[in-house]
Amino acid sequence: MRLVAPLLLIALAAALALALAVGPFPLGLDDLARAAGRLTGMSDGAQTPGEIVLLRVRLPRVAAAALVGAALAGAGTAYQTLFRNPLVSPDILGVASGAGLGAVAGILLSLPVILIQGLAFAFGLTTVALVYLIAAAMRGLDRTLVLVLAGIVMGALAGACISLVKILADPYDQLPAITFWLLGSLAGVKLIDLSIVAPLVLVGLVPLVLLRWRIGVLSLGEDEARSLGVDVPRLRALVIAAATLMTASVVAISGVIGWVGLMIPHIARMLVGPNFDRLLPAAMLLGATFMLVVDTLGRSLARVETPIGILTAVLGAPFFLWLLARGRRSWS
Amino acid sequence: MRLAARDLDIGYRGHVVGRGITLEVSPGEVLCLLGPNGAGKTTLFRTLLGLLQPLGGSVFADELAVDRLKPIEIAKRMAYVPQAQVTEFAYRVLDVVLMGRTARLRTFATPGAVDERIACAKLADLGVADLAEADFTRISGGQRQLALIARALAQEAPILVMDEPTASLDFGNQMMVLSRIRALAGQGHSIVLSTHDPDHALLVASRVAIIADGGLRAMGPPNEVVTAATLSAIYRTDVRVEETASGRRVCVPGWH
Repeated sequence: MRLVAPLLLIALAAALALALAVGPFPLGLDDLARAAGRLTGMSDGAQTPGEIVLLRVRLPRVAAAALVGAALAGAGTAYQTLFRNPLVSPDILGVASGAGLGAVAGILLSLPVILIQGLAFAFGLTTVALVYLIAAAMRGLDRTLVLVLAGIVMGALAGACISLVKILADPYDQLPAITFWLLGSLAGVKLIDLSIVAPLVLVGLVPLVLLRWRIGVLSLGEDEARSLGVDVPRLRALVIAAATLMTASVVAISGVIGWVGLMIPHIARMLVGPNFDRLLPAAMLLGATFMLVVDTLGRSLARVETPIGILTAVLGAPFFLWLLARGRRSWS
Repeated sequence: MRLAARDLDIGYRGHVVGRGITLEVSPGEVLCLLGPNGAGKTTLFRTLLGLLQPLGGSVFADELAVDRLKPIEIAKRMAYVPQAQVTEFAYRVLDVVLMGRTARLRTFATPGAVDERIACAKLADLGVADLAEADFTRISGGQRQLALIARALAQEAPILVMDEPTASLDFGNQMMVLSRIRALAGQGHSIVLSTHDPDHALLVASRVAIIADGGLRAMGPPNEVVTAATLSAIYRTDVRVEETASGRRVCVPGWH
C-alpha cells in the first residue's frame, strides 16, 4: 500500500521520459540536458535541431497528454464516486457529446482553432448545465437516475446534431477534420493552449481535493450521506461542476478521447482501494501515465498518426470484458 | 437527548402517508415501531431523520425543530443505522466506520488518528474489533449490521434511528444485535427502531408504537400494545400472544 505512491510516480517519470524521447525525430539525453540548460539560463548559443523539436513540438504535446489523462481520470473518479457506479465515465452527463457538437460546428464554419476550442468548451458546459436543470425540474423522482437519463438524452441529441453537421460539411476538407477531432488527437496542441486549459483544470480540481472526504461519503447514497452530515444537493452540484469543467477544458484541446475516464479509476481502485481521498491522486497519476504511453504509441506505431481515441478503445474494450469476466460481486 | 414528533403529517408531495403522529423517545428508552408493509414506517423514519420535510407538525431533538437544522447539525444529534446492504465499492470496515466521523470533521479535513482510535473503539464495544481491516462487502449480514451500528456510534449522536436492524439476519445474529441495542439504551442512548417481528418488540422495547391505516394506531408499553387483538387487526391474520413457562410473552399464529 505504501509502495503504491512512489511506484506511480516512477511510472509517470518513466512515461514522461519515453514520450519525450520517442518520435519521428529521435532525441537523446544530451538534447534534454541542453534544453533544460537553456530554460534555466545556464547555456546559450545556437539552438540545435533536437532542442527545437523538444521545446516547440514534443514538450507541449507531452504536457498536454499528461494533463488530458490526469483530468479525464480525475473527472471519471469523481463521477463514479458520485453516481455510486463504476460503469460511469466523464461523459455520463453529455459533456463530451456537447463539446463535440461545438467543435464540429466551429469546423463547419471554418473558424480559427482557438474559437473551435472555445466553442467545444462552451457547448460542453452548456450541455451539462441543461442536463442538470432538466433533472432539477423533475422533482419527486430519483435525482441520480434522472440526471443519468437526461445525460443520455442530451448526449443522443448532440450526437444527432453532429451527424447532421457531418452531412453538411465539405467532404474533402472539413469532414476529415471533424472525424479526426471526434477520434481525439493531441497533434496540434501548442503551449498557449496549455496555458489556458491547465488553470481551468486546476480550478476544477481544487474543490475535489479540498472536499475529498465528503465526496467519498457521497458514495454511500443520498440518504446515508445526508444522515452522516453531508449537504448532498450542494456537494453534488459542486462535484458535477468541477468534474465537468475539467472534462470540458481538456476535451476542447484534445477532442473526444473515450475509455480513459472509465478504465483508469478502476485500475487505481485495485491499487489503492475505493477511498476517494486516496483514489483521486492515484487515478490522476495513472491517467497521465496511460495517456503518455498511448500518445507515444499513436505517433510511433505507423507512419501516419493513429488517433488516440482508437487506441484507447482498442485497449479499453478488452480490459472492460476482462473486468466483467472476473465476475466479482463488488468493485474493488 | 429526547426525540419527539408532534402532530406530524408524513408523506410526499401530493401523497399523505400518515397524519397526526405524536411520539417520543427519551434517553435510555427503546421505541419500537411495528406496522404492516407499506404502512409508512420508512416514510416516518425519513421524516424523523430530516431527510424528508414533514407535511405538517414537527420533529424535535430536545427543543430544536429538526427541519430547521442543517444536515451536519442533525448528524451531531441523530445517527441513522440503515439496513445492512452491500456497498458499491469494497470499503474496509474501518473506512465505513470512519465515515461516521464526517459530522465531527472540519469541512476540508479527513479523519485523523483520533478518529481512527474512536472508530476502532466502537468496533471493539460491539465485539467486532477484529473486523476493522475486513472487506465490508465480504463479511456476513450480521457483521455488516454491527459495522453500521459502530458507524452510528462513531458519529457520537445521542439519538439512534435503526431501520429494521434485524432484517435478513439469522436467529443468532438477531439475538446478538438485539442484546447490543438493549445495552446501548442502557448507556443512555435514545433509540427508535422498526421491525417486522413483534417478538423483537417484546424483547427490547420500552415502548411500542403501531403504525397502520395512515397514522399512529397505538403507543405504550409492550405489554399493553402488543396484544392479540391489535396484532390480528394490523396484520390481518389471527395472532395470539401467549405466555411461556418462564413468564415471557411470545406471538404465535392462531392456527396449529
